[in-house]
Amino acid sequence: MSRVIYRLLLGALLVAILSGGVFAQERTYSIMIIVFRGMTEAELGFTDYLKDRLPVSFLLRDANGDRTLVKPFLEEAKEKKVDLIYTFGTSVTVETVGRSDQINLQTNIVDIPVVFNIVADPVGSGLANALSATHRNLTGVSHLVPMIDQLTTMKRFKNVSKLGVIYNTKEANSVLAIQQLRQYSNQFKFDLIEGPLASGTNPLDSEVNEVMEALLMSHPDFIYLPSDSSIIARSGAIVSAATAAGIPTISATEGPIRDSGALMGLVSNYNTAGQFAAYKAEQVLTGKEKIETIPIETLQRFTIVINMKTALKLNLFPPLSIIKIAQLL
Amino acid sequence: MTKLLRRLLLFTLLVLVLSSIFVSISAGKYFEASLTEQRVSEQREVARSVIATIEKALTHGVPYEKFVEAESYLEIDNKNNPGVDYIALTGPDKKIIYSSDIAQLKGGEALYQALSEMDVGSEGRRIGDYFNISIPIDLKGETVGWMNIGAEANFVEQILFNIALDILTVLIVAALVAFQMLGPMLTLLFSTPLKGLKTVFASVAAGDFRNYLHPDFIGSVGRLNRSINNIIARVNQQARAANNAALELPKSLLFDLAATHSYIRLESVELIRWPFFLVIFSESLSLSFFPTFVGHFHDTLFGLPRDIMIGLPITLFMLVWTVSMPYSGTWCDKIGYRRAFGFGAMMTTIGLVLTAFSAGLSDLLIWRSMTAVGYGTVYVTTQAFIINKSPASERTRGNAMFQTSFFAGSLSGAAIGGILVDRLGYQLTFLLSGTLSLLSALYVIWFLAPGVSNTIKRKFALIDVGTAIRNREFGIITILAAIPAKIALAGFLYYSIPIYLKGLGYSQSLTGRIMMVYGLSIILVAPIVAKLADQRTDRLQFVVFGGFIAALAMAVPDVFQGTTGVILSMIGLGVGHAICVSAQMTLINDRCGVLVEEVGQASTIAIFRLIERTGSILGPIIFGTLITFSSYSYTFAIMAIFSMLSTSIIAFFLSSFAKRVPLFQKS
Repeated sequence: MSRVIYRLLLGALLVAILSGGVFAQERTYSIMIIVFRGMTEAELGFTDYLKDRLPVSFLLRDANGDRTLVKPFLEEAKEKKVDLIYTFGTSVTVETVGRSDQINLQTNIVDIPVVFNIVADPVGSGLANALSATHRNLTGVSHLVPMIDQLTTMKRFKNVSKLGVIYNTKEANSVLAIQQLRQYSNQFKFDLIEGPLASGTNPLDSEVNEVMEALLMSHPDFIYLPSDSSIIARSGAIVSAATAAGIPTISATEGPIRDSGALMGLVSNYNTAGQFAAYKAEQVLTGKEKIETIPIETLQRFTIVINMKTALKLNLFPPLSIIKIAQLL
Repeated sequence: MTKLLRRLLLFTLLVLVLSSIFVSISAGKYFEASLTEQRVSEQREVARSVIATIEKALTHGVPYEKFVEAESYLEIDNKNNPGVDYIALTGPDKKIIYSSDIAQLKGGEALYQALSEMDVGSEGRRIGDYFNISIPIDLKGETVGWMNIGAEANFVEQILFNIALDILTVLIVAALVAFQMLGPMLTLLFSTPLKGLKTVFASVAAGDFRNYLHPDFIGSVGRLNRSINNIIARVNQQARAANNAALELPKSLLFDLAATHSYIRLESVELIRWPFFLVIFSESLSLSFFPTFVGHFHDTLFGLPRDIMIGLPITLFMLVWTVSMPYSGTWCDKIGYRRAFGFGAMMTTIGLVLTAFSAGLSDLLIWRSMTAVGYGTVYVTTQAFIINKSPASERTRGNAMFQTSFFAGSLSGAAIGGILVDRLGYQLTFLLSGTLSLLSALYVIWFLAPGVSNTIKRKFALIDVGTAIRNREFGIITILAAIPAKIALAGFLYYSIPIYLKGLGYSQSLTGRIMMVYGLSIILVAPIVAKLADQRTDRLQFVVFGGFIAALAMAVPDVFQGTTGVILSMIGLGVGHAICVSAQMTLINDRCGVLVEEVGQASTIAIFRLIERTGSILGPIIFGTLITFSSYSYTFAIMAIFSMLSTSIIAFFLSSFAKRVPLFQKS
């Protein structure tokens, strides 16, 4: 009798091992990455993290700054039955999944899990009702650094009584930033000088130059660049005009500091944000967590990034205590 | 003979002290070197992090002279590092460009000046009160400036001072142990055997051949005894042979015809000093760590709170010690010093060994009670021995010796025990204690003469306490002199001073050292005072004078604040007690002869100690209550006045009795 049981157990074990082997066989997850304006450090962090842990293949799709181009990517994703979609930025994400109160079941993605990254305000932009859980086939990472901390860091460089800001009235992230800056102007005792770009999501260089000229005329102590891809894309022109006029710039994102010579910023590291998004994607793909219940989170650590070449040009140096902890470029 | 003894003692002490000083100085040098190194490495560590930031700024193009908020940065960095008092950055021309707030430091301006003018070099050096190191600030292999980082040099001195105090403590303990051992050693090896020789030679010279020397063979003099005994034996043998042959022996000569072999065995008070010291020492080894040791037992008894539970074995020890003393006193009178002491020391040994192996609180309590019985027996026996063996003219000196040995033993035991337990652990330390008291038992059994004491032997009965108290003079001395002295000791010294000093922010080790001053004062002053007291006939003056000093000493912290006041107070209390406490015992003997006759020597002492000990119990309660309801200064003042009053009453009554005593004796 006991021998029968023993054999049965042995058989069961064998079946378990074999079936496990079958399921464990190379199952490659396909992931579509949709970016708004080319690959950033965030996507590098995302792909590097996943490649180290899971068998994955990536389909990279770039909207080149035109949100209408996103729709065909989504159709492709449905057709190819990808396992997960990664979206960069507020615009791409809203195009992909729709605002939670106006989902288009025809065009928006509902049956493929979506992990977003670099979205300044997921609740404000209507992607989710709360950060704790979306209750949608959606989760993600916000790179937003609290405005109060950004302004506090800025004030360590010099006293600011006039703060200029160039922003796009048609971009959600820009609008959000303007609201917050207005709110903090009393506390930080500065006059906010606004330079709005109102022509659309893709303003022309001439409009940017005009707005900058007007802004520089009022001699602000600092100019703020919001986390807005239309501004980030034009940060080269904006920063060089400001620096030439001897006015320092603070950027809400790392790109303009690194690539366009903005003086400084308190930013989320894009690479780290990408890794954090990848961690959430891993939870979804391996089925460890249900995507509806994975909270939307921001990073807990921010980096002060300073472009020292610009600092030399402006003859404006950060205090030693900032130098000690900052990433100097 | 005394001269030789003293010279030998002085010489040995000198050798001991010199070698100890040599060892201490070499150890001190080693400490200084290693501490300075440690300190410098701490400074270098801080410097490294500051320099990393500065070089980061420089390599990213921030000009050295354009650093922003450098002062506050340096200030914060040195505030976060208690090991650093200032940081200053100089240019290549050595002028200070940036610095933390040097001006607010002690001697800051002079330091600032010195830093600006000195020749920089990377090794550490003293600048005024500060220890400074300079580190170059390099950019692309070129030195653009120097960083000076420093700390008050007396930090190192402070640590060295503490170590010096520790070494001094050990030195004092070494001297005390040496003193306790040297005297008895010399007595044992030289003076007692020589006295024996003198006695035997004197009797031989007088024609008496009946006495032999004690056949102990310790020391060169002792070994001589055998040869002399052989000669005497041969003379006696021939005398016996002649006697047996019915020959007539010379009438003027006396021989040991019956072969009784009676030995001359001289005993000196000194003989008991060493074993007594050893027992006190061995028991005191655990003094400093006993509460922590008890704290390791996790079981509790009767659901008692932990603090009370920790205090329980100590309280029980005191209680058993106190209660057993009168009984062991009677017992000692009955069976003799040698057996009583031997029994006490053996009992202590067994108690200590079993303590080492105790598994829980309940058995620990049993072993501690055993130790207490043994300890109490040794205590009473020694006291009785000293009083009995001291001639009346040296009685106070004998008591002082008892007192100094007791304090020397507990003082050095506590000091050494703390050091030992760190290295050996609890169990081995207790076993060592047991071994030491065993040695003491063996010593006593070997060197003390058997036999019983020559006072009236009576079984101790509680009624004796009543008898003793009804003796007016005994009552007055114990209640108005002995009890207040114990109240001061337990309430002021052991209870109030530690919490008072803790309130002033002193560490435990410093408190311990300050309290040591009391014991040291007694050890140093008691022998001198005792000699003086023995030269006078009335010890009342000493009891009164010492009582006043001790009373005043308690008020000293009210007059002089802080450490000075407490140290002066410790000295005062020590000197006061050195003067009055030894004299109290002698005074009892002087004035209460009738009582001693009636209840026995040892019992009188035991009753005296028993009643006196109520002071130890009352002391902490009285002081604790007064401190709770008033303040330290009021408490000290009130207790000083109380002691003054009680001493005044003794002075008044006893000086009036003194005139009447002879009348009583006549009738």
